[in-house]
This record gives sequence, C-alpha cells and structure tokens, in this order.
Amino acid sequence: MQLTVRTICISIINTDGAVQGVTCLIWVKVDFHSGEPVYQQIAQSMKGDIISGKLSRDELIPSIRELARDLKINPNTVARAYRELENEGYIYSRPGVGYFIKDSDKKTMEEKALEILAKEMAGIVDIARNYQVSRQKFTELVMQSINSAYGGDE
Amino acid sequence: MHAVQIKELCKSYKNSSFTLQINDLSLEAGSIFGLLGSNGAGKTSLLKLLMDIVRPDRGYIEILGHRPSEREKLQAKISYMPENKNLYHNMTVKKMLDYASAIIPGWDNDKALELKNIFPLEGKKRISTLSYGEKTQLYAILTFARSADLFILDEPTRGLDPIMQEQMLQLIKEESWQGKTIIFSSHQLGEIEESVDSLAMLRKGHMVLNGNLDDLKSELFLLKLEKSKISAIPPSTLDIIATHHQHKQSLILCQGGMEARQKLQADFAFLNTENVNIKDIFLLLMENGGEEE
Amino acid sequence: MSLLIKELWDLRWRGIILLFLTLLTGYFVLSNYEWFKTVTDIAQIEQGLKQAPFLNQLLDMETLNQQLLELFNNIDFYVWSQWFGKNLYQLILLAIIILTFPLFARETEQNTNYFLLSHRTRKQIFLSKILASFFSIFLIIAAGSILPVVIALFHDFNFSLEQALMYGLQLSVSSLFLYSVVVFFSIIFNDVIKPVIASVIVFVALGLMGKISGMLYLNIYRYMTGVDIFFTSSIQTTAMIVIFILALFILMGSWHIFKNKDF
Repeated sequence: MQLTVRTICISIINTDGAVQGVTCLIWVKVDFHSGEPVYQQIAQSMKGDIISGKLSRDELIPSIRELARDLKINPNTVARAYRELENEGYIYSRPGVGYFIKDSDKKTMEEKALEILAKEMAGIVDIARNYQVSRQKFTELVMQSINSAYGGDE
Repeated sequence: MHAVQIKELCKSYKNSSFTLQINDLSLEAGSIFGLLGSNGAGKTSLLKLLMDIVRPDRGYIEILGHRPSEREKLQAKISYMPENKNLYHNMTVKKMLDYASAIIPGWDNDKALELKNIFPLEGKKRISTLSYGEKTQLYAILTFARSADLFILDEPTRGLDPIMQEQMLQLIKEESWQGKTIIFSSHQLGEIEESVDSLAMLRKGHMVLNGNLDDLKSELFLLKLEKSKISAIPPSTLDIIATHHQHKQSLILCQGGMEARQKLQADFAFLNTENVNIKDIFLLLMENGGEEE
Repeated sequence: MSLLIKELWDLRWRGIILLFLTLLTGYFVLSNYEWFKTVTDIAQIEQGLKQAPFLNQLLDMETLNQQLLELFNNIDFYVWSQWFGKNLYQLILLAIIILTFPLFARETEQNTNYFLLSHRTRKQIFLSKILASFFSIFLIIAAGSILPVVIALFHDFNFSLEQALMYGLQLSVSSLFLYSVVVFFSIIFNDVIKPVIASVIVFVALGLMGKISGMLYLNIYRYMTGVDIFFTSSIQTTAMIVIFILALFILMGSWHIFKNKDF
C-alpha cells in the first residue's frame, strides 16, 4: 500500500518576546511493501525537499510524534529517519523546541544533490547494461533528456 | 529496556510430536512486535508460554521483569487476546462486559464505551449466537478497555471486516504511541508490514527470522538469476539465507548491506539485486525452510 | 472476590432447585408418618432391613428381629430410616454430582479458561470454585439436617438440634470426600460428560465395596446415613477424621494437577 501524506504545520514560536509564525509543507511518500526500509523512505523524501529548497533553512519541521501520527507509523521509525537526517547535516534540533532545517551553503547542497543523483544514476546505468543498450546510444539518450529539461546545450 | 526476554526455550507436545524451540529472543519495550508463521508453526504456543497458560519443558522467560508464573504481579500489566475467542455461552454481551468490568484490573468504562462504538454489538445477544468475527469484536473491547503495559494478541484481526481490521491496527498503534508494548501474531503479511517495527518468523517450531523490520530490509536482498548463471558466482561471495528454484530462474535470498550489494553488482554485471519485502522473505523462508537467520 | 460471586451465580438454578427438592421431599416424608404406616408393607421393609449389611454386623439376628418390630412402630426410627437413611443422602449424592461435575470441565470444554487464566491466578480460580460449590452443597446438607428439628415442632416426634448437628456433621464429612472425587474428575477430564460417568461409577463402586462384609468400615454410605448415630447416639470420630484427611488429600492432588495443567 502506498501512503502519501502532506503535512502542514503552523508553529508559533516565542523568541525573546517576538512572535513568529512559520509554515512548512512536507510531502512524504511511504510504501510499506516496497522493500525499502520505511525510515529511509522518510529520510530520502525530506532530503529531496531540503535540497530542492522546498523546505527552507531554520524552518520548523513536524515533531517525531506529529509525523508518526500523520503517517500512522511507529515514532521509533520517524526518530530513526530524523537521526539520519541530523547525522548527515540536513536538520538540527533545539531541545524543548523541535527540529529545524539546517542552513547549508549552496556548495554543500549541490554536493548532497549530486550524492543522491549518483545513486539514482547507478540504478539507471544498471538497467541500461541489463538491457544491453550500447554505450553510445545510452549517452545520446542521456544528452537528449538533459537538453529537454535544461533547454538547449548548457 | 526489554519487555520480553527468552532464552533456550523448549516445549514439546507429546500428543502431536511438535516441539517449539526458541534460543534467543528479545523484545524492546514500547515496540510493536509481529509474530509470523504458518498454521502450526508455534505462534499460539509461544504466546501461551508468555501467559503461563502452558509451561515450558525448560528455558528462561522474563516478561516485564518477572517470570511468567508471577501472575499476581503480571495480571494488571498484561492484556491478552487468545486465539480461541470463546467466552461464556450463556452470558449476553452486556453481562459479559459487566462481569469484565468487575474482574479485569484497570478496567476503563469510558474507553469501553468508545470501543463499543468502533466494534458495535447488541448487548442482548447471547454469546453462543455470536459469529467468530463478533466474538473477536467483543474480545477487542475486553482487551483494550483497560490499562496495560503489554498487549499480547493472538490473531487479533482474524474474522474482522476490513474496516474493523484497520481500526484494530489503529488501536494497536495508539497504544504503542503511548509507550506500550504490543506483540501480535498474524497471517496477514500486509498488516504486519504496515504496523510492526520488529518481527519474528516461526516455521515448524523454530525461529527462522528475527529482527527490526527496517534493518531486515536493509540487510537482506534478493537475487534473481537464470539457473545457467548460478555456477558463475563463487559460493563464498554470497551469504545465502534461502533459495527458491523456479522453472528457469532461481530466487536467492542473501544477507548483505548496501555496500555488499554494490560490490556484487560491480563484480558481476549480469546480476540484479532487489529489495525484499516481508512477502518475499516469508515465501522464501517458509517454502524452502531457511535455517536460523 | 467477584469471581466467587460469579461461581455462585453459575450454580444458582441447580442449587435452588436441589434445595427446594430437598425441602419439599423432607417435608413430605417427615410429616406423613401415619400415612406411611398405612400404605407400607411392613414385612417387606423388615426383610430389606434384615439384609442391610451394617445392621447385621451391629446386632445379631434375634435381637435384630425384636428391635426391628419395636423400632418400626417408633416414629424416630421412621424419621431416621426414611430421611437420613434414604432420601436425604440420595439427594445429597445427586447434589454433589450436579453441582460439581462442570466446575472445571465446562471452562475447558467451552475454552473460557483463557479468559479466566488471564485475569485471575490459578489459586484464586481453584479456591473460588471449590468454596462456591461446596458451600452450596453444605447449605443443602444443613437445610436437610435442620428440617426434622423444625417439623418435629409440629408433629409428635422428637428431634433435637444436637441430633441434627451430629447427622449434619457426618453428612458433611462424607460429602466432602465424595465431592473431592467429583472435583478430581472435573479437573482431569476436558469435557463435562466424562466427570459425570466417572463419578457415578465410583459412587456405585464404593457402595458395592461396602457390601463385602469385613470391609464394613469402608462403606462411606454407612457414615453418610448416620446408622451409628441412630443406634449408638454418637459420632464415629475416628472414621470422620480419616475420611476428612482422605478428602483433603484428594483435593490437594486435584489442586496440584490443576496448578500444573497446560491449557
């Protein structure tokens, strides 16, 4: 079963008397039966949002309990995802307040994006080899896709 | 903190020559633990051993810090739903619930009312006239309308319609969110996969798999291979758990993390490694008798 | 606590009916001595009594004949022989079987043990069931023993509370022994029919055993009917102690089996 959840969280934080309203939008897709560990699916989904800029720095993300309830899964699984995100520098926590998106410079973000892209590419390359697509044809295909997405030669 | 710990457990049934043997099993407190296996694999036996309904031949069981025989201390902390959901034939549903409220420690009347809405039953109906599903509904109320640290459920969704099954799973999750530990056995791989965080698979009285579900998915993978190509792989490169040979191809369940998989794919171009879900694992282990994990 | 109440509640119809039957039969038997004398064939009863093994042992044949004739015209004898010697103890035998046979076996048959064992310890379960059922049997014994005292107030025979207590005591101890046998069967069998059959077989066998002269002291029914109390106005203390210990022994054995049983 595929479960897609959109979580909208609106948080009011009292910082030195000032009141801030922060809204964040999270899309998390969880497929319990895909064979990929659920915590990884959550982590991947959020990494994607962070790298693509959908979640901006210092934004407050749902607490572990909130997200677990929305996804109807065990908080331990969400906790594990958050741990991975924290370890890899995507989020940070303020005890007693919650988890926030970490500020990262453009270079780090790009590195992270390339990391993820590399993994996806490995999978695609495997398929190409499996289908015995020639190196030349494959390269042509890749260039075609890039051109149509980025427009012309870049 | 372990909710349950089992070591070197052995129980033989003389009438049927069935023996349950569990060498090492631990359950974290606050987890939802799934118990899978075919009929007769030993799931009900194991749960009965935890409840002191059946006694082991030998072995060590610790449950919430006590031995299972310490029932006076454990009664208030454990809620049990047996596989056989029969209750007193001549009682009406209402009388049964009244009796339950008097005899079950930690009974919560408000919660019972809530649960009666989720699992509706006619109060005047005699228990002998209830269907299997209705008896399960009644037992669901008896099991969850009370406080407990540990819920032991033997096939809690069997006989329920899909909506109630979903509600039962929701109840289980809600208890878990409050820090309670739940063990439940099931035939339905789907519901186990969506609810549990760790599990064990039993086959003919032995535990063939045990661990955190996410970990298992990370550490196991599937190889689909044409039979002719099997010989091309040196046996030492694979940590094989189980194999299943079909007509032209073989399915091999292997142990190994991401790195091992990548290396394998790099070394052998024709190999395709895939993620496994519970169904894959179950079918491979049950069919071909994987040995201890 | 409420387990005890539930066990008593389960026994209510059987208990009430048996109690009612006992009181009704008692009333009828004890109030109708005159009627009884006119309708009964005295010679036949004389014959029957002569053949009763325990009487033969207590008195020789000559004395027996004389005494019987005397006794038969004595209402006290009538009260003993027809009530304690016959109807009451048979009703109690019936009560013991009916109130006890499903005690443990029905829970096993209906698979309700799982519910019970989840919420009460085996000790609590065993004690509640034993207390509830034997208490019910005891109530019937008490009612049956005191009834003659009450009825005697309205008829021309004497029956003292002291006598009621003596008969009641022997009845209770003998019943406890027979009760423990039924409890045992109710625990070892997994359906409700087998305890009934096994109990009946044992009860009959005990009766047959008692007919073998030389084994007179083994006849439980002798103690249950209170023969010795009637003829000697005293309780068989040694026998009572032995029977009581045997009963406890069987109950302890039953507890041990129940405690260790796999369900």
